[in-house]
Amino acid sequence: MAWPVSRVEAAAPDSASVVAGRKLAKPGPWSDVGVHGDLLWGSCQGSGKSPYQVSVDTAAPAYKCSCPSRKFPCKHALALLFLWAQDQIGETGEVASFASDWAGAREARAVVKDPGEPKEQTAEQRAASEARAAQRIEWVTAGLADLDRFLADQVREGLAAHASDRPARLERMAARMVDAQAPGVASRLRELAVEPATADWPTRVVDAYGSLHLLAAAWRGRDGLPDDLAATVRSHVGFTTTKDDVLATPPVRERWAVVGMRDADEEQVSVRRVWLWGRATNTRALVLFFSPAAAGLDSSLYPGTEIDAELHFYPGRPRLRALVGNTFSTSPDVRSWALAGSTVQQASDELNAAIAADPWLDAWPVAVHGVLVRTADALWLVAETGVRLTGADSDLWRLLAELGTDPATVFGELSAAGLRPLAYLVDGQVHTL
Amino acid sequence: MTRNVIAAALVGSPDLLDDAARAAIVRRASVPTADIELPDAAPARSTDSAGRRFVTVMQLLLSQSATGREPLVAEALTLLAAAGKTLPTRLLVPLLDVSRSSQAITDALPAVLGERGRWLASLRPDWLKGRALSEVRPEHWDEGTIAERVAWLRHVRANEPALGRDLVANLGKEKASDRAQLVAALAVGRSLDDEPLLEAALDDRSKEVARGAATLLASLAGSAYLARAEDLARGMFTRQRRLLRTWIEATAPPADSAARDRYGEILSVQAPEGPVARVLRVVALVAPKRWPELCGVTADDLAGGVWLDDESVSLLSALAAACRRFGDVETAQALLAHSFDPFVFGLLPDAQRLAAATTLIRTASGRDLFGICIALPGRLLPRESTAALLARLRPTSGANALAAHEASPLFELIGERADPRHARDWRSALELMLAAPEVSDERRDDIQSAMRRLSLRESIYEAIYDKENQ
Repeated sequence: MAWPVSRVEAAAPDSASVVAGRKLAKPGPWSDVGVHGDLLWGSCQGSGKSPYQVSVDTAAPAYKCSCPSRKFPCKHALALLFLWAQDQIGETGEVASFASDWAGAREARAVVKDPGEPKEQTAEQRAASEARAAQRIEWVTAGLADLDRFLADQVREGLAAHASDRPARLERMAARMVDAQAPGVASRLRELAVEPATADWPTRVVDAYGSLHLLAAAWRGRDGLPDDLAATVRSHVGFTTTKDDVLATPPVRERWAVVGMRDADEEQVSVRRVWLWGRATNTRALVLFFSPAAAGLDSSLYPGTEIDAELHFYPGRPRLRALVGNTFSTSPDVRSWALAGSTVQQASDELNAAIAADPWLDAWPVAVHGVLVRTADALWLVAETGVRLTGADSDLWRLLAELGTDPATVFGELSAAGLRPLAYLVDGQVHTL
Repeated sequence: MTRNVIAAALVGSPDLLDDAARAAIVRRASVPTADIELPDAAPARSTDSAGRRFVTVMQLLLSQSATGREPLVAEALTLLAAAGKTLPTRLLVPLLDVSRSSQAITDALPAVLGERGRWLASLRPDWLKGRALSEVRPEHWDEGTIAERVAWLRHVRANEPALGRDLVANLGKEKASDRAQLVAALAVGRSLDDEPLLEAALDDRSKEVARGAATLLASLAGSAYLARAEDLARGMFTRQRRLLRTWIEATAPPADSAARDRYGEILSVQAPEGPVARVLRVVALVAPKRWPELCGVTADDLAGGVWLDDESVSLLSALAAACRRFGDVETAQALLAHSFDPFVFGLLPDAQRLAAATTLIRTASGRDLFGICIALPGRLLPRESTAALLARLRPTSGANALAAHEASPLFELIGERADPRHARDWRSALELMLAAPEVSDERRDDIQSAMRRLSLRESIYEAIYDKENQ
């Protein structure tokens, strides 16, 4: 089944590429186009003598174009996908030679890529690695001790005393945390530094200082914490776990419905958050994709689709962030899913339990079965009691257009701000916003 | 606890951080909830909505620039309505959003909203610019929004004009903008019986209300308002003769003669304020057929131009405005012999315009071509007219060739108004132009843009009538 337009847009590296791709999405410059299974191809006549040869693996997804663009996927690949989205490319039996060559080479590389046994480190390498790790722990410990002193000074003198130069102080402390190799803490401080000075700034600052103080205290007492909580603390401080280590954990095989996706630009990189929901076990998972500028974010997991796959969860609690391991099959849509959504109270209890497990957690994925109600100032989802919906205004109106007052299960991120809807389930099928 | 923690933080407290950590956790776990009563059921989704392919094409269209997409979106909605279908719910919000900045889309949208869409639109006054979408109801007059009140007034006026007049007899307490809308609604079922009310409204403290009343009075045959205009017109033109030369001399009305009647506000003329502008306004107000009785000259005579203080003045645009106001086909035909005016051409009966179109397109000057095409009946260009226009646009047309500034809007017209059912034929003709060696870069861009728009419109048409994708 062809991708929807929104999925093509989600695969683009930037909005300029979307515009350029749309301009080319007309039959005129294209020849030798076709689709066979997951393989899509076409030749696009550009300004040069020879047409650009474009191939797309829509399952992976992966792209190949003979043009010199450094953007990925390029406008030609996006244009081809837009044409496909408009049903202007039909299934053909014979695959163009350039496309089959590329697909063949990809398969061959996939076989070669199998890493087999990981390389053993030498004793010297192990010793150096351990020394670096010990050094970092020392730096982080010293840095977080400085942070806690900074926070104590701030509140001892009173927030009002430093209201005007608080951003500069926070930026300086963030730089100190970068030196201390605690990037997670540095990032929280920078976010706080650029918070607008609205009427509720004392609340936000006190909350943030309290959370950072708790993190510093948890780091000091990490040896006495349960392993999973200690892993959560390490993660919030900014320690990463290698993909290999995550993929080495026991997998959870499930039919995972993709129920939401959100992109954000964070400092130097773009981040895509994709929420998955296990159909059999109700297990929730968050898969993150990162991308530098000019490279498209991975769009292999797209809301409304389903994969039968093994997920490997990162250490920490509650178990949420995951990597996709072996994938056995993918489905372009989610069908016949009889999920009994929770009430608002049950969803709140889930959030409370998640925050009890990870006190720095901001939001928790929930599925609430209820009815939309619009009041003068907000949209609510009512399931016994009502929860205020939050997020982009256009998303909320679209949800109201789709559901009216029909009862439905709404997936979303529940937080202190309310429920941010991501998708909804009607007649056993997941629909995204 | 939270409030105490924040208060303590503002003045400083050594034990605060531990309390703040606890408060942050409590706050993060506090979900905003409320006991809310369930509302009345919303109308069900339409079962006759357009299919997936239509959604895809429209999403692509909506992602284009606002000016480029507006006519295409409006056409798509009109086609959808003609096919007896409604918008899929997925497109309701994006289209209601774009309707805020487009009158054409606002006009076309209500016919395809369906029950669910009408319900949704009624929840936000800025969508469809407050146009009343629900059925008109008597209680709307006292309790409804201004759009609903106007809708009720128009309904009453259509059935019982006098009752409608009574409703607006005393508007003193209404806001000026509301008063203006209610007075404008008297256009429905207007007659000389409304004259006293409208004459009184000429003195309204709001210029907007007075202007609305003047506009209605100016279109009311036999009104005192028009009689006052005729008084100004009487004797305004006189025939003069010296030796073999004859001409028509104009005398401008006095400068303050039409202040209360707001002629200046309802009729804009292409002349700076002064005697010429005053003459043009009176000509635009008076029925063309009245000139023989008022001044002993015909509209045809006046179309040849007059002299005012040794200055030659063309009255064609003012006469054309009067023709439009009074629907005067006979004078329109006479005026076209003097000069082509697309609006005057538009007054001719459909059959007459269609019969003349192909010949006119083949022979008209480049300057008039666009006007001829947009004055043709219907939104779509007739097939023969499109073919004739494409022939004129060929770069090899020699002496008859069009300048770039003349051709550019015509290519745009082909892209937007050529019949999408024959898009392949039009594209073939455009491709031939593209292949011509003498085509300029600028013309190439115009041709490619027209081809893109034709393709998009063809996709919309096919998506609406494509049964496989419903």
